[in-house]
Amino acid sequence: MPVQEPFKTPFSRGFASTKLLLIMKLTVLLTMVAFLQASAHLEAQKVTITGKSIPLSQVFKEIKRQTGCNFFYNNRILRHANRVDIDAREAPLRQVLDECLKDQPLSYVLQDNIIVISEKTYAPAGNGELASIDITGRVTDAAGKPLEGVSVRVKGMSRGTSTAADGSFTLKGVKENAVLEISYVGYAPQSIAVNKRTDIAITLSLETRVEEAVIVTYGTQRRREIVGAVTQLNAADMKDMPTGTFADRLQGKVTGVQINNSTGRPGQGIDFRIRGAVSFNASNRPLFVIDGIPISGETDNINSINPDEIETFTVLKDASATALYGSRASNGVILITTKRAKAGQSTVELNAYNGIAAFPNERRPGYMNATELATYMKAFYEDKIKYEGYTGGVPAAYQNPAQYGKGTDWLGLMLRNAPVTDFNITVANDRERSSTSLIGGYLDQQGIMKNTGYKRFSVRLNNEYKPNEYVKLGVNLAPTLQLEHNTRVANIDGQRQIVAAALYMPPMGAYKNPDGTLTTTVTGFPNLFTWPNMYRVLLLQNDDYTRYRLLGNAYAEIRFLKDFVFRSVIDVDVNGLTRKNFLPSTAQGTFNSLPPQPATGISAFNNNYTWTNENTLTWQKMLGDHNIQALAGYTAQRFNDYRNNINGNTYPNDNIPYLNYAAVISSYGSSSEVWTLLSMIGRVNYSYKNKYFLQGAIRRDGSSRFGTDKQYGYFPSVGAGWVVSDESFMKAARPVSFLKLRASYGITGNNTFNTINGVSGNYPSIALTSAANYVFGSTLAQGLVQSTLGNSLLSWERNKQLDLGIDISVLNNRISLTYDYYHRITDGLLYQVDVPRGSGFSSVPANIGAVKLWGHEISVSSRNLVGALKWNSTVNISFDRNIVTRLGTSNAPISAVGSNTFSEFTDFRTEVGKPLGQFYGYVFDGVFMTQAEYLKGPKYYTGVSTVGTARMKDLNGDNIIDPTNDRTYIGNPNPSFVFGITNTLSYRNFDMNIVFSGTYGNKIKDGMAESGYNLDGVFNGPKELLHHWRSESDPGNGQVPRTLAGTTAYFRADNSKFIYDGSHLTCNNITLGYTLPINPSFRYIKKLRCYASAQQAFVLTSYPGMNPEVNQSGLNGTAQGQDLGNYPIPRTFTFGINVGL
Amino acid sequence: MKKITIYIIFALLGLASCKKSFLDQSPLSQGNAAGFYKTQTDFEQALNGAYQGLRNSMASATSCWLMGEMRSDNAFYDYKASDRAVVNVYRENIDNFLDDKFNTETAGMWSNNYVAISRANAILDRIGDITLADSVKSRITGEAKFIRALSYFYLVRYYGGVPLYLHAVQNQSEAFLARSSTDSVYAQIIADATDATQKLNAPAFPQTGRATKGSALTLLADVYMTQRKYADAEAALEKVTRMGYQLQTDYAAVFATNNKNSKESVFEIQYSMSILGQESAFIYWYIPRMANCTVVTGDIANTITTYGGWNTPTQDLINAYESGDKRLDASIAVAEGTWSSSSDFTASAVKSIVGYTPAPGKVGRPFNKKYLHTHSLQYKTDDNWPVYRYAEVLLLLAESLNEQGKSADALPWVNLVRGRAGLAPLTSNDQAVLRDSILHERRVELAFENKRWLDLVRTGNAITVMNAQGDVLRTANDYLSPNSYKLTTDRLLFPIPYAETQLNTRLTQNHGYE
Repeated sequence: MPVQEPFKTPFSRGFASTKLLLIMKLTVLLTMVAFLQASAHLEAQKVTITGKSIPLSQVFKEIKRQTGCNFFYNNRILRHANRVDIDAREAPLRQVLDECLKDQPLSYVLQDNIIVISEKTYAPAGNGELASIDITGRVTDAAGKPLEGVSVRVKGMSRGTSTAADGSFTLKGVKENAVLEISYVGYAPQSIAVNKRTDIAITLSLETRVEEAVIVTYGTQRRREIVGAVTQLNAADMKDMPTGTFADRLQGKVTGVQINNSTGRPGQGIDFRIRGAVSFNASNRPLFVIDGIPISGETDNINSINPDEIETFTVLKDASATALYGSRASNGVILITTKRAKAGQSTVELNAYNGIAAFPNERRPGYMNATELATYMKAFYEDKIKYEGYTGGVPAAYQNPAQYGKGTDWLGLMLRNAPVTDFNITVANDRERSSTSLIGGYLDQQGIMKNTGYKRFSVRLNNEYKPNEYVKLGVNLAPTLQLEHNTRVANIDGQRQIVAAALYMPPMGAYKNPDGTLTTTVTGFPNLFTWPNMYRVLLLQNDDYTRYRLLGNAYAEIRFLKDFVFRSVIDVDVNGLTRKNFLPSTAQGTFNSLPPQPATGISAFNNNYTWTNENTLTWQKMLGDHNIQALAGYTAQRFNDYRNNINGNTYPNDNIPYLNYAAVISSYGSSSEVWTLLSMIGRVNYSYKNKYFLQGAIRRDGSSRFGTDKQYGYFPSVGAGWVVSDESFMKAARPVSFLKLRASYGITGNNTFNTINGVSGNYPSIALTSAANYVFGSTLAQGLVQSTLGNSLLSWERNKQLDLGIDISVLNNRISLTYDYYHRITDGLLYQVDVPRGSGFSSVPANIGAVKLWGHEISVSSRNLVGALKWNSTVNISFDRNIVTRLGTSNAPISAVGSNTFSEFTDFRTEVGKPLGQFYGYVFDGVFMTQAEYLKGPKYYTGVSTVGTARMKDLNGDNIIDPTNDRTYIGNPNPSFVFGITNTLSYRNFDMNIVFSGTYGNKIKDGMAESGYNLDGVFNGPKELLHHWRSESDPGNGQVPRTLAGTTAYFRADNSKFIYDGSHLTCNNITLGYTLPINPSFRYIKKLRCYASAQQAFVLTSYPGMNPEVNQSGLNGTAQGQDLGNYPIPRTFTFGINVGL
Repeated sequence: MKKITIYIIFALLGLASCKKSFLDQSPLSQGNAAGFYKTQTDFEQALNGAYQGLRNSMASATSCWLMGEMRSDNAFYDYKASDRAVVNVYRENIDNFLDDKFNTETAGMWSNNYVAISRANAILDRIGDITLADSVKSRITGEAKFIRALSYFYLVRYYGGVPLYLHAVQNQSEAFLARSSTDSVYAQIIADATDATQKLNAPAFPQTGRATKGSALTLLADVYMTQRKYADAEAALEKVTRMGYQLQTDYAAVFATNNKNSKESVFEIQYSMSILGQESAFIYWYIPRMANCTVVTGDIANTITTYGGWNTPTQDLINAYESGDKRLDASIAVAEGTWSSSSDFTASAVKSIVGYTPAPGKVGRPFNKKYLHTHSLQYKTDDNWPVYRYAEVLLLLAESLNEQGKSADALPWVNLVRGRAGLAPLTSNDQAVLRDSILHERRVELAFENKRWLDLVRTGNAITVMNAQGDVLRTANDYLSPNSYKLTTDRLLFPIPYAETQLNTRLTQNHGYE
């Protein structure tokens, strides 16, 4: 959906311009007159008013007081009126009115005792032919600096232009009474009456935030009119951030939105969580809507968007803002609008940057080097001899640890300085009847892990045609090609995969042979696990994804009967993905499982498309101070997916990586899925005097995903807003420039059901059959069985959300604050409920469980300095809390993946009365340092405790440590608050932008510790291991137990030692730019700016792992905050230019 | 113009008037169970699916040999001190009688058998709904009841009285049943097995691999033996002996992959390496942990972590084979090799166990080789799994006779089995002596067929035998906890899986595991 212009008020467009309308209006007015019981004859009235610089409204008030007449006008039109100097004593009313409205863009109509004030352009017809004139003008900011690219439009006409670099514009053949509409991003829009002038100087003032136009669901609103929790961001403010996807650019920018930079894989999707959204089996992901197209599926589906195509982001958080997306809205909605040509614009812009990404050395985990590990192993054997009667002696490999020096730095070998290149060209052209914008982008982002990288080629073509003033037709097309090389290989990051392996592998091992070739395996160190040479694995593996996408839509918009707009849109989203995977025989295996092993290959293909048809009818009417807008529509959407895969292995050699060489096809398959959604929407907005706002909206959704008995649902919402600062009693409160109160309540849903236990997220309600083949002898016996339990009552997750907000600006809008409180109850949580296995099934999808969420969001913007040195700051902070109020049928706690299977190694636990996904385990209490301590202390229930072993807190006081009674909640991965800080500075031609974001109070589980702190001498580990307990006289640091065989395992079970504070402050970006002064007479380049930027400049945290934003399970609220060795996050330095032609 | 526009709008709005079929999306690449169980073909396929369910409960899953064989005195494991992965510790704990209710390695036996039961239940629930030829209906019913009876028989022996699910569960509320008494579970098994014996046909040779009247009678007899109803067992077994079953001449040939469903086979779980997805892979669990097992299996699989090192023969079992018993060589082999500097074993040859002494500088590691046959791809073997074979029928018959005091009548049956093994006939008519002999004969004849632990329990020998075995093992392996192998009667059953008890609060845990 293209940006919908804010609806022009029919009042200003057409009052009295046709007889029909006038009659209608008058009818209404006369009806009112009857109520007013007016009788005075106004023509004869005399008025006395004197004063200087009196606001018009005050003049009208005074006239009303003296004459008893009533004024009808829209507050908005008085905004452009000048104050008046008047000295009327006993003057006739008409004379006074004429005097007051002289040189004002206003006219009046006097009818009985009613005076209607309207804009002058539309003075009643019959004035005769108006002359056409040519206008030139210049637009500057308050400081007199010319503004370039400002849209200047003739009101009521489709024609317009935009200003040149020196702020000048020319419009030919304009009617002498025309009104110009001037708009520019970041500045308050203005309407200027031409009044026969041919040279007009216009000064734009910085936007008072509250008046900006905001993209909302199915339309736009002025910020003043919004009754919900909505944040809009201008993409231009973030364009210099060298990130492949737009998500990184939003980090720290939006209150209440948590964006975790959990992986450094190039080009990969980043997960968003709005207001701490929770679901168990359903998605926590907000709905993304690109130009009106609701994007389905994985976050990957929004990666392909070139961030430079984006004009604005609008984040919708509360129910009133999101309700029109009904059953998909409960996690919030992010509306993305792409760039369009501005009125009269004809520009070419080039943006390019080049940079280098590298892993910040200070974030390297402190694992042992070769000498240290050999020292540890030597001690390990010495203790084995001393305590276990081991007779083999210390192996030769460990007798002289110093011989190894630092050894092989496996992680260092795998990392590199990776180049990133980005190039974008934007061509925008707006003519009288058509506008076109073309954006071409190229991104080449190499990964900081060797042999990984991402490329994207993208084009976007946005076209709009206006054959006449009633009809708009548009076509937008955005094809993308993405080439991903090893960026999503399962074995790069995650538990004990390559990144983690680089830490666990013995640094004593060699990565290359004396002749320079790479070794295949790392072996020969007694007791330490053997490994493939993971560096070689990284270099040799080959997993390429080629992704094609076409995002497009076509629309028609028809204005008719003055107040109606009908709009019909067809959207398509076509995706194709092919995967070519080949892991050579020497790039196979993991610890204890050495290459060569048969080479494996995969060929997979996934093709899906979505079409959406949306039809909306809008009616807007302004009746005096009453403004009503109504929207009705229906939409239909269908998703269709087809995929297949072939997996093979055993190749004759490693040279030909295609499956026609594979001797064995190990598995294959194809499948197809469809979902459909059919919806009706309706919304009514009402405002009175432009300061009281009411909104009601409803969506009725039918979804194919749900049970036949529960296919339809209604999602209503209401909201109200009150601009208190416009009240007369607030006039005294001078420092307050703007104050608005908001409240909303509504119900939204979530219909995204993850595929779990082989139960497709698209058919969860249906009992499915699956193949269960058998053989008799060697004869195939085809088998089919019911493989899932369906649930015909399955319905969407339901969210009831209350939002209370306040927007306040003080000191002439120098400081603005927005505060929101929300309270939300999510019930009917979609959940794959475990059923007793005795049933033959493991789970059934059901709506079960409830979570209560609430939070506070505060955002403060301030213009700290407004002189030559300008400095703006925005700070936001949000506090989100949740608590589980019901779970399953029996309130039985669940572990991470919706399973209630708990073992001693179950890290997460979600229980009624607690926030979601708490870390669970023993409370580590050091080491039994002496025999006396051991004798006194609590012992592990299997009887393996002894002096020097780990001591856990005995929670039930029975002096026995067992998993049932002595584990507890040991950490909350939910942050106490998340925050972001943005500072923008400019001085003469220099500009600077600094963005911070962070969290406070969240805990991280170092999941790598289960292997790293394995005391059995099998993995390399943290340097702290060197301080393990060896004897009462050499007890180490009291934090690391002894290595005695058979006693070490439960130290690795989840316990508080491995829980860390994840609070952090990240400097996401620092950009310093310089705009070259260019003589306006230079014809070739209008604008040239260059900048240098540091992305992910630094991270302040006490967390010792690589990344405090790590989150192995992404959005999963029941399993967040675990570090299992993710792809490291780079720091990127770039240099870039912006050129305007 | 305006009118046209309005017409268009209303026409489009009209389109939206909710076509219900737009929302009715049935799965495309999976079937909808609502349309299944309607034709004979559906029921044949459902039955094949039920047979397939037996694979995990009888043969493929780790719980089969962990609970059936490794728990007994026949088998131990390859201890790697440095590899303390949780799953390995769980498996070792089962062998060492240190397992507790959290042990997830004993949970598979529960869920896998119930999968087979639910598939059988779905057939039995619905077969009355359609018109089928009587013979077809009778056969399908008989096979489904056999599968249900067999599965409950394993459940009741491993867990005691279990919940009796006799109808296919279709929604959540039907899934929560309390435990039934052991007696009522047995009553149900006997009813199902008896019905199966009446509905199934006698075996025709060569056999197909489906359950036959012979399979059902053997199952029924086995149940009676467990219940010490020896006369009933004898009656059933006697019928089996008249159905044409015969012993293979050569013991090793019983397990040969070219002798599937042979004249000695009473019921076996079917696999085939020639059809994708139908392969077995038992042998990979049983060979030593090796970086590369080519010398043993002919392919290059790695058995250090995922597979390898389990269910290894104890010295006690090796010693149990009498001198000259051909079954020793057919059941156990030795992988000979060396230890690497990384503490891993590298095999250089496979040697016979008979009279084995390691070559200089080498070590020998015995392994169970019953399921080691030629195949070309890793983890894809052709071996079937024997559930009942005629040798066991003969031994059961001998036992049932001996227990009834008809020891002399029992002797010829045992001696048939011994004779094939190349051993001299037994002669003692003493009931107690013969009882021990038959149990011993079962041990060596049926080694690694997941019979031994259940035999020890059934005959009341488990506690004494395993406690004695524990003394031996603890002495030989200093890493064994002093608490290991301290059996009480509680240890004769396994714990109900913890997750199941958490979920279904009507379940009570077995004594000693609470």
